[in-house]
Amino acid sequence: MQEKQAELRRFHQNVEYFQMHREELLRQYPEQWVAVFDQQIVGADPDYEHLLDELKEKRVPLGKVFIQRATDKDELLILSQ
Amino acid sequence: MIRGYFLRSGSTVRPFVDASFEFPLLHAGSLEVPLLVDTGADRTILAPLDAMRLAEETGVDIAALPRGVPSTGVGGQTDTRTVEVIVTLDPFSTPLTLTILDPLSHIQPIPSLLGRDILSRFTLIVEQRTNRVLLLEPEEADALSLP
Repeated sequence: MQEKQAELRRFHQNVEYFQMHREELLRQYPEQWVAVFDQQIVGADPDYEHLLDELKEKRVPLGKVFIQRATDKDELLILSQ
Repeated sequence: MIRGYFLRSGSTVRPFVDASFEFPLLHAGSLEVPLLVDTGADRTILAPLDAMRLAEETGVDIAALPRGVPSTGVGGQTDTRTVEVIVTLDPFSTPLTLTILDPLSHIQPIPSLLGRDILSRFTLIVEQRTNRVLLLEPEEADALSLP
């Protein structure tokens, strides 16, 4: 359990990295999917599937990477199921 | 107490909680996912983008998983698959039947959802004013003496 909690903390550090550098990432990778691992940018691509391929080639663990679209566009999400 | 956070997209901020999924029956590694807190979702849902990460990382054939009940949302109906997982939301962990939106039928850039199958076990506080996204255990909520 402690190991799992440590993994979640490491994952959240990647989320925080994205949030802290959001403005910079918006300028550098507009409308692209940006991948963060170990608090570093490890890939960016407008196409999500291409980005996964690129990350796999770099041997980035896809289960642990945080991927978010760098966008300043507003999108209305109305979700339920 | 489980602590979440607000994540900005455009001018909107949304409440998220990080989760880790383990897949004991698939003998696959774990998948870390930010889950959008969605009190309107009956179940916790793995969205197609996160399902693609799982498939690429572990080689799991999502289409070969058992079919679930179709998911109905504002945008229409989507096929689903199910898989048995152990979900961890620091420091809480439980077995769960996870619903996966079928990536083959609908690739949409929507987040995975934390639904009421998990939320119902907690008292949820979402307060943007103070940046609080909290899931309280029953004894923690009882101590607040809310009406």
